[in-house]
Amino acid sequence: MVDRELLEGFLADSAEMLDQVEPYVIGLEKSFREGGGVDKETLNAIFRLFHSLKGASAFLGLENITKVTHEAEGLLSALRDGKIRLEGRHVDVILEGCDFIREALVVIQADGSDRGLGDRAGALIERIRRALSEGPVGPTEEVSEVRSEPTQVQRDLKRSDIRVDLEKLNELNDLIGELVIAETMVVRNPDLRGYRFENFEKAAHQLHLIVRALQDLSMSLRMVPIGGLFRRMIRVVHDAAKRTGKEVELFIKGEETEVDKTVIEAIADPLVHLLRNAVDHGIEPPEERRRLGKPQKGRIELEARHEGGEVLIAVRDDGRGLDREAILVKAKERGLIEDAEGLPDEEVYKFIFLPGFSTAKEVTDVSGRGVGMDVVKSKVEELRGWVEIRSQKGQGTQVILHLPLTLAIIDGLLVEVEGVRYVIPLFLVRELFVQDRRDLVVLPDGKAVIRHHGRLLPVVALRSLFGLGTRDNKEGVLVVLEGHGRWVCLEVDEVVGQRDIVIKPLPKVLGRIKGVSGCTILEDGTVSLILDLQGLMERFGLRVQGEIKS
Amino acid sequence: MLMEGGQRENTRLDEEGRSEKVLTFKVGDEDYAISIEYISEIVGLHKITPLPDVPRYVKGVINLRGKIIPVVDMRLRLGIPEREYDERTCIVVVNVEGDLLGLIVDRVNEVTDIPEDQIEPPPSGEEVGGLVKGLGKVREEVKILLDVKKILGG
Repeated sequence: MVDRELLEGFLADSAEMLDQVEPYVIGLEKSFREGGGVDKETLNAIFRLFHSLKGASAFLGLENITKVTHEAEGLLSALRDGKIRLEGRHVDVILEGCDFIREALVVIQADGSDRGLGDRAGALIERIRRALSEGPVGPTEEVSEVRSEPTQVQRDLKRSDIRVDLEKLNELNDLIGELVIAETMVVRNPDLRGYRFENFEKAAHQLHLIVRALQDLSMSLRMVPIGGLFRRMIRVVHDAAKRTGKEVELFIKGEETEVDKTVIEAIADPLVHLLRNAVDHGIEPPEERRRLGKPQKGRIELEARHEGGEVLIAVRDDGRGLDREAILVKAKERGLIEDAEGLPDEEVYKFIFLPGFSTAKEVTDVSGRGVGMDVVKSKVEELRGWVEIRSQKGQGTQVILHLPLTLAIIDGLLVEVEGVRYVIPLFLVRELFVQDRRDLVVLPDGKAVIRHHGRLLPVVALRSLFGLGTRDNKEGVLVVLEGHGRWVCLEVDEVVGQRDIVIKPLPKVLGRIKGVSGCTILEDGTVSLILDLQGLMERFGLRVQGEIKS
Repeated sequence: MLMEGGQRENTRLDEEGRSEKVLTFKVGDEDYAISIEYISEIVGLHKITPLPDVPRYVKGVINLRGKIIPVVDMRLRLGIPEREYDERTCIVVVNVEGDLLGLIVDRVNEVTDIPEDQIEPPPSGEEVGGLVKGLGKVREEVKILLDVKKILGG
């Protein structure tokens, strides 16, 4: 039996290597298809990665991986040395090799060995050999020495880091979260109120600085560049395009954008889904694109960037765009809407996020738009993010995932209603002001609005939203919030102050509570709920026209 | 936590006449019992943060050394009129398949054994949404055995 720790290291390293190698293989195919020379350096890079895999697997006695990588290596060196000419099927078997190894990794993780994969390995080796032997023999001049980017490969391979169990990292983060809470519990201890201790305060300040630094550091430990995930998408798009007979090129931007590891893991599946959707339903078949005067090759952009405390991940295609009419027909069919007159496009597009809502005329094996868009949305919302969708008929669709930078800490505004304290994420807060209730305009349905800076804002009392009793107070503090393109005034009794908020989830047994995204522990040890704007608006029924009935 | 050691020892003692070790507590006029294996600890009252959208008997959440746990007022859960909490009011923290849950009870009595032959099924089987698992007799007193899994969402 192989040492478990060695094996885990191998599994993680190999998965990473595969992520690196696939873009190269696909790059190879691309340059081959475009009739350009085959870049020798790319071939070398692929060769090196397979070689490393072979070495590692041989060391661990993983025979089948060793055999397959050995065979692939043979093919690659024949290609590199110009003994055979690169063709599509070579690329195919190399990708098959990648798939085999990826699946083997899963098996190995479970069984500790790849012994059970002998048959599959045998069949694959057979195919690799056939691809090798059937290739047109003879030297080709197409293997060029130009355009090499060896630095990229070298950099990827040379690392000075250690692998840490994610579980331990989470534990560390939890503990630091506790430390932050404990620090405030000590420094802002109610027993100290009214006293001034000069030395204590100096020491407390010092402690605060250290805790803060520790917190920042522990956050940064969890942040990893999104590039690894993005590179995996190259393969996804490649496969989807191949299956649907479309021509697509994926452009990746902002690979270096750092995102919380948990976020990356959680959005992998939604991203795969969005990209498949883009290929399958967005991009038109080549002949249609030609007819429409579009470039024959479809373009999909995958971009990540930081913006205002959020990470934005956008998937853009230049395909046919969403069909407003088709969505509306379907929505009417399902009784979701009666009259679509004047309904803004973004409201119409929201329908595709409903479970089982698909306008795809035929559901292909790749995806059917609507099948799973609800999953994309709920996954993103689980992360306290939201999904924006923009589309123009004939021009393309853009889906933007708005995600929080970190899942652990936010700047919060502490407010109080009926003696209970709530946290409002500070990035939502635009303004605070005290307002005489008599200045509110109460509409016939009981909803109130206020004119503020020339803008008519709905006023929502947190008290009534959460059923905290009705006290007709003359004066409340209005907190102006903006999010998801909406403005709203939230009325509270009092604003307590600003705090660093360590986010904790509410117990799962309670289910989802609309308007609450999580909770935190305050300096006096009590729990405070963190408010979520989208949910509050839904409670208030601010979904304007086109309200989605659930 | 304190009870784990004791529990093991007692189980050994009880091997001949099989019995169930329970924690008994009072809610309203009756004595209730929960199998000791679910009990995590007993703590005094904590400040409870109310939650919207939960059944009335879920009073909210408390912070138990950094863990956030929901608390249920057992009076409300059992359909007994609410009353002010006093110095004997306790929170019994139970562990239901890994999820912690606090139960607010009027007072905690004792840990005791109920011989299995002294446990009877509930008369109609459907008391308080299946919450009552059985009726146990200890020294001529009746203890109402509760099924902790049914306390939330029962």
